[in-house]
Amino acid sequence: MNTEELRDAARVAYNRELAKQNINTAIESRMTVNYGGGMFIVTQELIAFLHAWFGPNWKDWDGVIYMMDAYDVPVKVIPHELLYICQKRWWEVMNEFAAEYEEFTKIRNAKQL
Amino acid sequence: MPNNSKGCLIVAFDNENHIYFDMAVMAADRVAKHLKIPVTIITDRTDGDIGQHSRILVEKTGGNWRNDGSTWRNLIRTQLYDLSPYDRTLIIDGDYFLCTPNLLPHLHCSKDFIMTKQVYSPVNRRTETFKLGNTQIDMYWATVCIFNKCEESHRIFEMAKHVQEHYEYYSVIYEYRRVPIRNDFIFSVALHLMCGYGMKDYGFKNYPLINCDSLMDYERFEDDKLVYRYVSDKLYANSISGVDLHLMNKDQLQ
Repeated sequence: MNTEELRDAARVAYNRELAKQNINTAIESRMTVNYGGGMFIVTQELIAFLHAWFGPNWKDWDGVIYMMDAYDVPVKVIPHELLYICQKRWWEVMNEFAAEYEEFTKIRNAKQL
Repeated sequence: MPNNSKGCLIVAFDNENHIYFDMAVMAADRVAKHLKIPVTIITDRTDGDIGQHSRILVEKTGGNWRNDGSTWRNLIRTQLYDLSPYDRTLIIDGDYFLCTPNLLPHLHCSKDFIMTKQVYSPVNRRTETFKLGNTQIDMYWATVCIFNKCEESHRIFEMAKHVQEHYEYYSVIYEYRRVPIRNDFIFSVALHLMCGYGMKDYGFKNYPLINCDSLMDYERFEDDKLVYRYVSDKLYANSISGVDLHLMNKDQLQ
């Protein structure tokens, strides 16, 4: 880097909050899955809801329920199947997020981008 | 064409300042890479290498002046329902660069018509829905759209053709700028009229449009990561990756 480039790099600021929001947006966009012709957004609420069907009273239950997908289309759902798909996506995306977040914390200024 | 075929359409008409054809081929390569679906480029150019993609030749559409003095040939968007060879079609602008397979779940779901509505700005970190004109109806962005060949989508496109034909009239009713003619406005009005004056939502869920607009200076774009600069209270730099990008500053791409 020559002097001019160094001076240029020094005057450029870095907004960590914006960088974090950029990562969050990327992560949220990945949290979608297809099932039964519908599309579901994987959230903690959806996982908890599906998991609730396997509570003490539902342990051996293997029936079918209807749920509205993200686009308000009713979809026939076997809860444990959708739960498995959601958990898998959650696992993949959040692991990636954790790795990316670790990289993100190392960036202290615009030169490191 | 087999039943349940899925594919992508990209329109490319060059003008005085930009070679949209080359940009469309780059965008098409990215669609093929990330979504693994066939791509058809709609253009008036018989020359130029399009690689593995298909081409539909059409006559150059009429001009539409932009403030940079170049002709904006964007008036074919409302005819894409008729031109599409696919059962489920993804339409993207030539400056929309896919960097992820995030569109796949939307492409594989059964919703008949979806268009981008929410916008994320990598400068002010807000995700918001823009409002159209003084009437403040929700604004849709025709940049990305998915539709099935079905009655509902057909009616939306027919209504869009009607709005385009009577653009001046609707610009008075909805109180938005008359020039240049924008597909975003055409479809916003068409969707507003077609869904009980805004009662139904045709926006993408969990998929905001990442608009990299004139507020940003692209420093570099490599490995699907955009490093950019912008001015707020002072000069900043930042980066964004892991999302599909609407790279609106075409001059900075060439």
